[in-house]
Amino acid sequence: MKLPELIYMAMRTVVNNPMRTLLTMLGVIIGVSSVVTLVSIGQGTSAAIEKQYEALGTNLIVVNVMGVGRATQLDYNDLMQLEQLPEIQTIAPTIVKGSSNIKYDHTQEKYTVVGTNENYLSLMKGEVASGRFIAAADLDFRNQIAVLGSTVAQKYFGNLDPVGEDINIDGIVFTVAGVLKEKGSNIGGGVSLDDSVFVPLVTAQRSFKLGNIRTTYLEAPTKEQLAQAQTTITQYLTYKFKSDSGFQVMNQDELMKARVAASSSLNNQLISVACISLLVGGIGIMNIMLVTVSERTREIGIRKSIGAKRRNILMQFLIEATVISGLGGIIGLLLGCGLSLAWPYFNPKQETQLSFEVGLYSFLFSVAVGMIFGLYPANKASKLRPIDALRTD
Amino acid sequence: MEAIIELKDITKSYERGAEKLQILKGVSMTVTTGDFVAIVGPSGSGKSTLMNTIGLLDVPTSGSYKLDGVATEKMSDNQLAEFRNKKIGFIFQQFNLLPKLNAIENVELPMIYAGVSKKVRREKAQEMLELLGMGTRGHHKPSELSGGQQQRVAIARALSISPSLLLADEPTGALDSKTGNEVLELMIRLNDQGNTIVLITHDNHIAENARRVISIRDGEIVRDERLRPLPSQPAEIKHAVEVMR
Repeated sequence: MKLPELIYMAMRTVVNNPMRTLLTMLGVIIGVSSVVTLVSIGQGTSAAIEKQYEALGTNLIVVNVMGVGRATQLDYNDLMQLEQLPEIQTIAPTIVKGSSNIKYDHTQEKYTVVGTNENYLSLMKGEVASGRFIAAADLDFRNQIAVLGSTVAQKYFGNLDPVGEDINIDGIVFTVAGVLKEKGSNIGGGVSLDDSVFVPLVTAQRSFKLGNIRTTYLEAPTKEQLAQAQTTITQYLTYKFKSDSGFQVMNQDELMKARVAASSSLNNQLISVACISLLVGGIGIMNIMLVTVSERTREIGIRKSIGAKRRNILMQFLIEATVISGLGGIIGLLLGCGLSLAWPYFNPKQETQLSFEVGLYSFLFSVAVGMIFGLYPANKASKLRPIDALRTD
Repeated sequence: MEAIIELKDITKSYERGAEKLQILKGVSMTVTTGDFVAIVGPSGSGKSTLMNTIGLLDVPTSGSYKLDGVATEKMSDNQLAEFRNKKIGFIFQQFNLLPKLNAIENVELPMIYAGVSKKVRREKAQEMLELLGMGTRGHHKPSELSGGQQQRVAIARALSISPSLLLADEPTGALDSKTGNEVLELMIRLNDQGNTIVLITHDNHIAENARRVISIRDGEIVRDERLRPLPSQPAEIKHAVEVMR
């Protein structure tokens, strides 16, 4: 008997019992669709992260200081000396103060306050919508000025121009010097240009009693000088801290990879859970196939008595199991694609990206699951003796 | 005359716990091509076991069995299946049609396992159904047919691979007397056309229509009686299909 004919025969049996088939397939459908959806969410996230970092330019270096206390304290002016080196073009150290109370008129909300210098905006590829960004003189004179991200400005001032207004940050008055254009994406360290308020670094250190510079952004003039710049800053910090631990120097590429890795490790765990549900689906198929075999003992007896060989019966049930799981795989695949496409509508911040390979692999995996878990029931069916099988009703 | 069935000292016993049940106690018999043999006996006499042995559905504990001149004792399960497929057409009391398949597909079934191509077997199945007066019922499921009609489909299925032997187990047992008689007449006609038939029954009326009656009791042949002679002209003996064409 030829394979297409066997498949046709299996299809007929499967279609004759639509409800049972659906229930049998359910595990596989859920498994495949969740694998497909999770993978496309994961790939969408990775793609989004890559896009953000690409926008930052490839010559960016991020230095994170993790240590606490005097040993790892960086002095702003010392740090800025590095700008005189040929391999380093600009430096923007930052101090971040999360959830600060910002008050204007009767509105009070919590936003992140970032203390930095004049280089920050260009390093982050941001632009000013009105007024100006922090200038070098603001640091020299410790000016009490603030630049608002677009979301923050919208929140307090709506469509009015806030430049010149006084706002209150943790009890200290700052004059709004400028507003940034909307940028949309999050960049390194989770700081969003739109959702933050920027003040001169030295002012922030004094006003909020913040000591250490934690994150510093540097830019090399060319891509070729990037490695040299990384080495220089590493050597400088090792000398300064008398230790090569307690800080981290990463270029834009490494930073991106680290974030992609972090987001995909969580995603991979979810995918493995989904794979387990596929496996459970396989066990479901085995269950139903065993029931089917005992239900159809008489049919097996009839087929054997008129000349079906063990192989014929084995193939019949094996192909039936495979057809069920394969159909489940296709339905799961379609469902998964649908979910992936619909996902961004429910979670506007989450992008998804469909992958042909993942679809193909999860379909093949589901077919394999049916084959493997169909083997035991099919073998059991093929071993029935015709005389015993004919005797049952 | 050629012997189609040669049974020699066939025994069959089962062990049920410590007890040993001997169902067949040394049965020897020979059936010649073209004969119509009825095996009769009360229930528990061992006639069903004998039928299963002849039908290669069950293997005897000891003794030798040649079907169509070929020794069957040492055959594997697969060889037995192939032999059943080629040599024996089964007709069961409960018809044993597959309920999900229609009449024509049921008739096709043995040909599927014999590896006959789809086109050929569909034509042949249609032809067999027409021979048995079921030509217009090809697309009916067994549940849509009467008992007599179902048995006709089953007989068409048995004949479809032109078997050397038609083996019928109480073929009229599930039918009312009128349709039972029709099926019986059909069997007689098939035998007249050259088919060798072995039929198992407990109904004496059916047995009387055979050429030869073998009575079995407690696992032994107690009587072997010839009612009608074998067909006289062996040259005319051919399979039903060829004759009917």
